[in-house]
Amino acid sequence: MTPPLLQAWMASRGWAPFPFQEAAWSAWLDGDSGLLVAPTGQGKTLALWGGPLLDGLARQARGAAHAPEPLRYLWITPLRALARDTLAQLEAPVRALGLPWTLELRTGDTAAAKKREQRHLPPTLLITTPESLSLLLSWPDAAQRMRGLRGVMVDEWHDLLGSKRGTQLELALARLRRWNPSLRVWGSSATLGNPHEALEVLCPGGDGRLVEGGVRPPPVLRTLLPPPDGMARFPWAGHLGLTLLPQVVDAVHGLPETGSALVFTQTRAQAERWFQALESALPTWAAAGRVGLHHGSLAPKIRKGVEDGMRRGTLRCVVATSTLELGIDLPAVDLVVQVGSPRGISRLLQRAGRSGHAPGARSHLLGVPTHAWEILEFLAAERALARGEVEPVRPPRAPLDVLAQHLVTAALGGGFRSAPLWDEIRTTHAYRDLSEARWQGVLDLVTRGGAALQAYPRYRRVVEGEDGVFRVPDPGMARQHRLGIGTITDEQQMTVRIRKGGRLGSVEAAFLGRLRPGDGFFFGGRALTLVEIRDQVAWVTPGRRRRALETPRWKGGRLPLSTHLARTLREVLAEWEACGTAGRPELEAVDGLLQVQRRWSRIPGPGFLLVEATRSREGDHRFLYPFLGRGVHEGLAALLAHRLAQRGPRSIRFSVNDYGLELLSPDPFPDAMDWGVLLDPRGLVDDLTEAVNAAQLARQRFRDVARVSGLMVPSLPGARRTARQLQASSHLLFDVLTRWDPEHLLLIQARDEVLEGDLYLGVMKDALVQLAREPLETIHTPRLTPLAFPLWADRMHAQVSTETWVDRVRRMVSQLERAAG
Amino acid sequence: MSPRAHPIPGAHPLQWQGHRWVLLPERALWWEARRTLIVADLHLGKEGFFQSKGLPVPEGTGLADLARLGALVGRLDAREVLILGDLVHGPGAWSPALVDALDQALPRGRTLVPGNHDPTHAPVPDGLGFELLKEGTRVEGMTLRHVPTPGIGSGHERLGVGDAAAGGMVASGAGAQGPELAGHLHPVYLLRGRGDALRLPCFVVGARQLILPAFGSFTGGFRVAPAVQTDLYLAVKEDGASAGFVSPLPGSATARRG
Repeated sequence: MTPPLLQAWMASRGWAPFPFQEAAWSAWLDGDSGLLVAPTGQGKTLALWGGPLLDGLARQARGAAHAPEPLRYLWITPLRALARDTLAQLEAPVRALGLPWTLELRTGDTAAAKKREQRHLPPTLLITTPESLSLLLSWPDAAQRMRGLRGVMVDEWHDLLGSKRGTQLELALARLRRWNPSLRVWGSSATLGNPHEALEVLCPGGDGRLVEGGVRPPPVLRTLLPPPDGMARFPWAGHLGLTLLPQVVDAVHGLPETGSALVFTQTRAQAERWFQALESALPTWAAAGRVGLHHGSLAPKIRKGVEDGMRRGTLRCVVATSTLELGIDLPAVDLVVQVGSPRGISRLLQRAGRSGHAPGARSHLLGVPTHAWEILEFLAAERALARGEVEPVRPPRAPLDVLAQHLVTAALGGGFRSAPLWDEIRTTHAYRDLSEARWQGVLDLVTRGGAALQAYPRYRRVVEGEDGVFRVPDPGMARQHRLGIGTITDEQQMTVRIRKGGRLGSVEAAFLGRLRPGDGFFFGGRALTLVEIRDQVAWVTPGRRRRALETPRWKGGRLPLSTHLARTLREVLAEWEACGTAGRPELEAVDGLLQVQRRWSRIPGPGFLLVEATRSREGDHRFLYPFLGRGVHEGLAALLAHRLAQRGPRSIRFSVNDYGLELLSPDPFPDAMDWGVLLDPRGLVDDLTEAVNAAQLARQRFRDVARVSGLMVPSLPGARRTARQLQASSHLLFDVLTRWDPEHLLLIQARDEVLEGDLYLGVMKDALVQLAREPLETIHTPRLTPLAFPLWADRMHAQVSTETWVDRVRRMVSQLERAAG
Repeated sequence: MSPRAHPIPGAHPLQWQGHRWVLLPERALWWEARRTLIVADLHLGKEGFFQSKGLPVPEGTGLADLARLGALVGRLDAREVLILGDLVHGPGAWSPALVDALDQALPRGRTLVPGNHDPTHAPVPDGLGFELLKEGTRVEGMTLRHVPTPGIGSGHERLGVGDAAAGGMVASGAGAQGPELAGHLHPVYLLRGRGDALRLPCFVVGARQLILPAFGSFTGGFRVAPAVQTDLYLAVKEDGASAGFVSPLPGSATARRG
């Protein structure tokens, strides 16, 4: 069915159409929308693009105009970095088929002059990001310009689906569909656990087509193990460990003459550390510039240099974070190394997809545990891979901040009337159940500041005209909104610049704030010395490698282990308990550790919940191991700490990891804990809401909410004085709102996000019901067990306290006094 | 550090530059001999300014701050309130309600050293009867300023504060002057406990310079750290709470001297 022209072009590249590509193309020609799900490297781009190409050929055959038509197709990409590559990939067949189309990019990186030109003369296909698409919708004549669109292609939909960026795109697509009801929307996605939901979010209404691509055999995962005599020194916790570096170096040396390796790490800090280590371990390669580093905080130019180096084959070993996981078109590497736990199966699959691109070929992965428990995580991952299990990607539920932003965008983009826009918004999956009260609430937010009218006498943003159309009359506010469009709210970043040199990238301001001039740190694989911080720029000089240097720790880099993988891990433990190592080298490596765990305590298993009780100088500890993943444990710990603190004034600190949680009280816990009452699912939402207020999680969440809803004015270098006068920290705004308008919609949004996003309320409910059925097994241990130790060592404490605020400060001051001697 | 009997519990008396001062948890400074209450950086009307720019910040903070100021004046029986700049956040701040509330909060004596946020031409409505002092005016040997002079030993300039932070107002006429009282900086200290951190407004007391915390509650902060010859005093009082205290930051010079 593939028309000869396209077939010939594909054949010239040595390709033949896959059945799923042809299925997608014919669905396109039928006028359908849908979602393509296929593993990496299986021709998804052409599957998406083929429909428009065939359509174009058909139109040409019918004698359509030979001049380029303006704005017929949009291509949405999640990463700016991907856009340029995509352009080249899409352009090749267009030229080969002789279609009179123009293809251009428009992202945050596009020059202002180019953007103006595009406004004047839009290309046939525009490649853009969800944020830039929203920006296009904010132009007064957006409807006229976009009405002629024939199709929107959404690349890597799985990457957008789970975040507010996906919600933002849903809203934008609803606009476009209203302007052109026959618009086709097609997405592509990597394998994910909930393809039908992913389809419904992208193409709501139930008539989208799901096209699934060829199944790929699961990757071969080999886990590196410490030598038998090295196991004793293998740490129980930590995540920057380099213990297995020599074996990784051996594996890299063992590559064929021109072979290359890609080393994935969990965090940017870990990437910096491994890059340093590999450079010193491979001195000849380092000297020849064959070792590279790639992560999201490096300047685009530096990143591009690394990508080009990989394409030319000059770079043989690149250390990267998830930045190289997605789409960027790179030649397949011979070896993919995963340092530290993969945290989830879909991520591991993505990364594995970087090797062995040839259809049908299996990719090879080398797992590098950084501490003992990760050996078991890799084992669990291997098992889940073999079973073909992948995590689902759940979309956010009706985030009000994104909706508030969208209302202002719509008010700018030609204005809107209330009832039709409400109807339009309810056609999206995210807001399908949006109540009239909530709709009115968001409308109040952008027109009056909030529901409590008297609280915002001077508020002004979106104004309803006498004609019933809502608009943004103030050009200054319009500009401010356009600058702030988007939902990505990274930690505040500070640019790192070299004196008399270029921009190196950006580091979280919080990290640089802790350094003093003269302090050294690692960044972009170089040792640097901080000279000064001025105007949001950290000026540095290349530093001598002396003394202990810090590596920036980027926040948010530590993903929780998926619930899925955590459950599989528990299975693996139970099997060891039942059958021993069964000759598995991974289990043999951790056998000693598990024996210690069993001797001092017990191995957690199905059918009971293990609780360990330990006393130390810090106080009384209780460790629980539900194996539900860090996210759920955080909520559970906050709940328990809150319920305990309710019984009398005390401060309870807690820490969590993927296996369990720790509660720590300076005063002893009662000997017999009534866990049944503490873990009672009844009253969960109320208690949790109070608990998280105390734990201030909502305050942290509010940062994103405030930014997305336009409460925070983006800070730009060289901003004018008015802009500076509008800066207020989200914490301050949160406090003022909490005190003077506690029922403000955005506070509610922050609290809801905490419940669903941070605390996984749904999973927690199920978990509590499950735990209520299981007996608890409390074991008093004289010291920290192998399971408890990582919790203790890896403290990321939150605190629930019934102390008054002033008492809390007094306690902290007296701690300081003691520390100061 | 137990304070002597004082109308304000938790206040911290301080002998500095030959005068007796009291650092108050309400983020104000009491000049006992002159019965003058000194505050800085109220930023009144900031909520309204935010609202007019499309940011929904609810009303309340400014009037609550003035109520707090009025209560202090009453308890101390202050003769005068001296404001070291940034009484309001911008020119549009003055509303009849604000003028009334301010008039009620203040005693007869009202002095303002205008700051960079105060309107240049008419910083305060005439009817309020303010005495306006120029930046750098001396009173009983004390130089009164909004913007602290860099380089006279409160250590803040080493933290990157200086002309850049002065919002275009370059501190001038510094020279050998001093000792001085100033505001503008909104100093806060990040107090870290075990797994716990709080930003607390603080007084920065150097050899020849005393910088007040911002009095206004809807104000941000600039993080400072103690330095040689510079002490920090944390002003600890929650909005709406009845009691608070001022605590010298352990580890800084005065605290070590005891």
